[in-house]
Amino acid sequence: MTFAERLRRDPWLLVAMTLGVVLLLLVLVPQLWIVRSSLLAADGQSFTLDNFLRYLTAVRYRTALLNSVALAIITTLLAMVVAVPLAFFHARYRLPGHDMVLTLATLATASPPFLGAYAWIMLLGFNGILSPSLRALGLPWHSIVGFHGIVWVGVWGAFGLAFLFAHDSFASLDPDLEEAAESTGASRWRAHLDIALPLAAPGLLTAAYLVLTGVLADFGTPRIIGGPVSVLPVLLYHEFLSEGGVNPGMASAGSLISIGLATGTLMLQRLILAGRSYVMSGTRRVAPRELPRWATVVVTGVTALAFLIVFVPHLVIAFSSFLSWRADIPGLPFTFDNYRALALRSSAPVFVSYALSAISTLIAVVVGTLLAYVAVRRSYTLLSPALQALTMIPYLIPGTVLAIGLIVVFNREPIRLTGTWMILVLAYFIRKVPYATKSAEASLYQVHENLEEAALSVGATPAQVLRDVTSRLILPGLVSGATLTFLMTLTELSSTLMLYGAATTTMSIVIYQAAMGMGGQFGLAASTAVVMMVSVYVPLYLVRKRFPSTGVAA
Amino acid sequence: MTPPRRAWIVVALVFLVGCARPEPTKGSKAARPSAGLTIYAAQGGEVTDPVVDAYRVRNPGLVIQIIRGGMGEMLSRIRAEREQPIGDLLWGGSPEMYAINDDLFAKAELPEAGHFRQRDPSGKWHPYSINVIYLVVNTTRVRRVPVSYQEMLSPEFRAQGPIALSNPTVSGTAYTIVTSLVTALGWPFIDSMLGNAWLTDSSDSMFKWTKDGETAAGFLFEASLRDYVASGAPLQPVLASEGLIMQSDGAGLISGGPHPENALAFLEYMSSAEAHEIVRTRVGRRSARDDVAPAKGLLDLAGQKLIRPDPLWVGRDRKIILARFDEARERL
Amino acid sequence: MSRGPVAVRVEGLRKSFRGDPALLEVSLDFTPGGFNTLLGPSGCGKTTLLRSIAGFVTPEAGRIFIGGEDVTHRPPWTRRIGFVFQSYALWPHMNVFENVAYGLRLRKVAGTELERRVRAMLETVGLASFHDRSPGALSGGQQQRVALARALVLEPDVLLLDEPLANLDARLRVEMRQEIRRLQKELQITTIFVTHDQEEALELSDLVAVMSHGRVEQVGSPEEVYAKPASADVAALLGGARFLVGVVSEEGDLIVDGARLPLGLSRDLRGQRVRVAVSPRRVVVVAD
Repeated sequence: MTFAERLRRDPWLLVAMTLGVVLLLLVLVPQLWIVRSSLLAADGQSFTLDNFLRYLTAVRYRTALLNSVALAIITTLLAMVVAVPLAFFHARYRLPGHDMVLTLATLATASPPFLGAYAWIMLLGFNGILSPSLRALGLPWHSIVGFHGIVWVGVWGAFGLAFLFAHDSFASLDPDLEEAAESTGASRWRAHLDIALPLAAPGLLTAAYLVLTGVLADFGTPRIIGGPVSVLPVLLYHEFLSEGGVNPGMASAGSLISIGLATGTLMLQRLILAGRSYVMSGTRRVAPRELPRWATVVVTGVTALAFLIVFVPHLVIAFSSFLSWRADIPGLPFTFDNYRALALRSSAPVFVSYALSAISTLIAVVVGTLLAYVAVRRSYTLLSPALQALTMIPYLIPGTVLAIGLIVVFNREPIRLTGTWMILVLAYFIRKVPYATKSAEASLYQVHENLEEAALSVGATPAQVLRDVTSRLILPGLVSGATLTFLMTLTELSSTLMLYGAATTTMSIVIYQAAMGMGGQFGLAASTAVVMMVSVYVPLYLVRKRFPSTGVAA
Repeated sequence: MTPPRRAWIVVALVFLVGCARPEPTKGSKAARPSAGLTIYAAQGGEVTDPVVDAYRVRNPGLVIQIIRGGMGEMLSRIRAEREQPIGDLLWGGSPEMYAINDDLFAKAELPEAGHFRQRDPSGKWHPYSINVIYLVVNTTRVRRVPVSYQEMLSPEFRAQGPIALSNPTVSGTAYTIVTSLVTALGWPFIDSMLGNAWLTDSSDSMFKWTKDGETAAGFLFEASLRDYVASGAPLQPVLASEGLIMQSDGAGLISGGPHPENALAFLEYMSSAEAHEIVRTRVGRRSARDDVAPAKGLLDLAGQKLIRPDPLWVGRDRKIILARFDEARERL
Repeated sequence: MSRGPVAVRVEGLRKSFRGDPALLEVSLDFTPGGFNTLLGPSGCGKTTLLRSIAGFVTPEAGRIFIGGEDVTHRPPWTRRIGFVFQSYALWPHMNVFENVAYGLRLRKVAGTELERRVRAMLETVGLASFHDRSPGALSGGQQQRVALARALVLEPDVLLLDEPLANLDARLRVEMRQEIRRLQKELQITTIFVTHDQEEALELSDLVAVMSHGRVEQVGSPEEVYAKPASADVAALLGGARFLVGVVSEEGDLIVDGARLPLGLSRDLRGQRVRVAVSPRRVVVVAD
């Protein structure tokens, strides 16, 4: 078959190729300079592997690397240990407040970043609100600042995501499979362990992978609550942005190492899942079973406690937004001053945040759906793995690094985007494409290919199939995926820090500047954060009501 | 209306709202308006706003845009935008930072330059304020205030908690601290201090840990100390017998910026007596001018011992100093 | 039908999936306007062959002709085919009417013309009053009729059915297969029917192609294939069925050589001479 015939036969090939080129230019090219500079020696002339080696030899870099890896593994394990059993019970057994639990979990995944860390310091820092009381009670409490603090905030920050993924995996298991096991004499718990758990493995491993790479890339939390514990993202951030004009070689090498770690985890996940079949025929949902009364009480109690801990930061921030702040120190009396300041000086960022997020989400969802289609329905020898890699790369690149790559590439004629809204939209779009794609993939897997083939058989072209059949059927999943993407973009910080201009200041910037600055504007940060939380949670809640989607978009 | 259609309408509306926002002038298309000025400020609003507001009153037609961030971020931005700079002026930073990045800045001669004690021979850095950097102890961690840096390293104080210190490789503030301490006490002091220090790449973290009591002590700018204490923070400065650490910060003209004339005019205003009176009264910082008294709440430095590192050594031997520091860290 | 029955032919088809061969040099000449069956156990390649003719699968070698035209490299939406899936594949977001109408809409048929044709087809498959039901509210048999209607309303050159009866219960299966045969005869449309059930194959077909391991073992009329199996494989596949030829009575019994056999045949067939395939397992000898 000639190439032209192949294209006519399968128009998606053209789509895949176009996507490949676009992603190559937007994702790979800006980061190529990172590769290049990682291999440059300090003199800027010769090529060397020294930058990489120093991550193993020099204390400063090695410590950051080891800390990051340790944190990632420990946080992920703990998050899974806490979330998976709870999710299992909620998926398979009848428990009160099930819908509320899912809503809360979804809200948890959309939380604004790093404010959680600050809130926990406010509560449990050395001189935090609760700490002196704990010490007075005789408990050996010192402070939440440190390695353990990062883990604590990380676990509860990841809880929502892990819970949702696990819940979805367990809830979509074919009930017949466990019943089959029980019919051969296995006890119910045996069936759970031997059948349900392994079958839910893909979803669980995906959750673990996302949590792990998220922790590896998280820079806000360790920056605030880590104390002297240095981690890779913060190290890279400072290497790139050092006042001393340090050679970006180390930062570049570190970026590649970050990407390598995340990729390695992905490979590991694939390896574990490869060669196993997880085909499930039914779309039947499991009818929840009953637990003995005491168990219901215990599980419900533990769940309530877990979500309380997850949302403590939000409550603390909301509370502190009504306090009077002077020079970073809160005090009474209660006041609306912080909101007044917001309304007078910071209302524009609210609109800017919304607009930028909306546009970039729209683009991300469209592109993500196309990518998902190619990933799920096609298997091109070279293009498919390439697209998959290109799509996942942005997830593995720290936001700061991505931004710098974009600045370097897009700051010269003929395309000058720096300082404009377009470069922010571009950065957001690139960063969120992996999420949008995964979400669309999840929805697509639930659409049987026969439905599309039937449309082809009555004469619909692939474009018409997409328009009339596929898109209609995946729409609920797309909408909830789009909403989550929108909300994550709304709270994005690390890329925005490098790319914003005076007219494109977002809510995140306002919060970050006020919270990190020495100017004592934490009150403004808190009130803006509350507005952001409301802007995030209300739409999220409404969408969940309208589209109670079964798939986990996350 | 079916749910999907409603969803599309909502999306379309948000999109339209977004597009309806007034666009910033995109660099490539807009004619650069002459009535504009873009300041990259590595300072908080409380430092810049009083002066900028006063300047606005004098120049009503001028549109001043301020972009804030850490010194490192601002320098990175300026460097990345080098081919087509967007900023006109960088506000903040010590003279070493400008020296290291001197390809990014343009020379300027200010008429009021004679009133400033410190001067940059290359004419790229223009002094604005002087800040004492105190070693500060948190009284919830320590029982009494030491009288010298050396005492801070004694077993008594070591037991009460670590000292917060930022990384001189990435922070100008930390570089000043380290070079001053080395000048006054030599490298052995640094080696010993690092044995009981919490290191961070971020000066802001250093300030926060000290204020919050996560560390027993740390280094803090005098103005912040004053403000924190006024709000009730349990902090006390160490009036060290070895001398006080001083840092100057200033501003510079970004080379190739879109509105060089406006930037120069602003720099001239920034160095004027009128502006520095505002510095004293409303900003609350110590002016670098020799004819302006320090702001309220700041120590009168007459009679105080001040550490004055050799500027030549600080500038020329930067790489050696940083390497020695890294070496000290490795040995931990 | 305006056109005459269309000839379908495949030559030398070869196809492998990830190294696993599915079709090995398959060549077949289907009976135009006739009921052609591909019979074989799972994995023999019959579905792959069917899907190749539909265009969902591209063979590595060989050619496919529909109506004399080489359609081997033509995409499925340009082939004039009707396909009925084992899972029926009715679009859940459209009601019955819309499911059947979709193909016509694509061809820019609208208004009263569209209405007429869709309703007529629904009438033909016996679902006239179901037009506004949603697929989820239909039984298996009803869904299958809609699937048939959807395929046939476009007057395709060839009707392809992929084990359409497999998901139905035994009684429905018998009823539906006769229904399909009746429709096919009425419309004179070239039909290719895939099944692993030899009863179906023998009863319904004009031509049976027995497949095994990616090859066609034997092609011929049901009698030929049954009476003179070309290989042990074929014999094993077709063992067991007997043919009874007779006339259908008023009550749906089969009159064979004067004997009356209560087989519960469709009333529509009364008075006609038919050939019925009966599995001997179904015959119970009772003392008189």
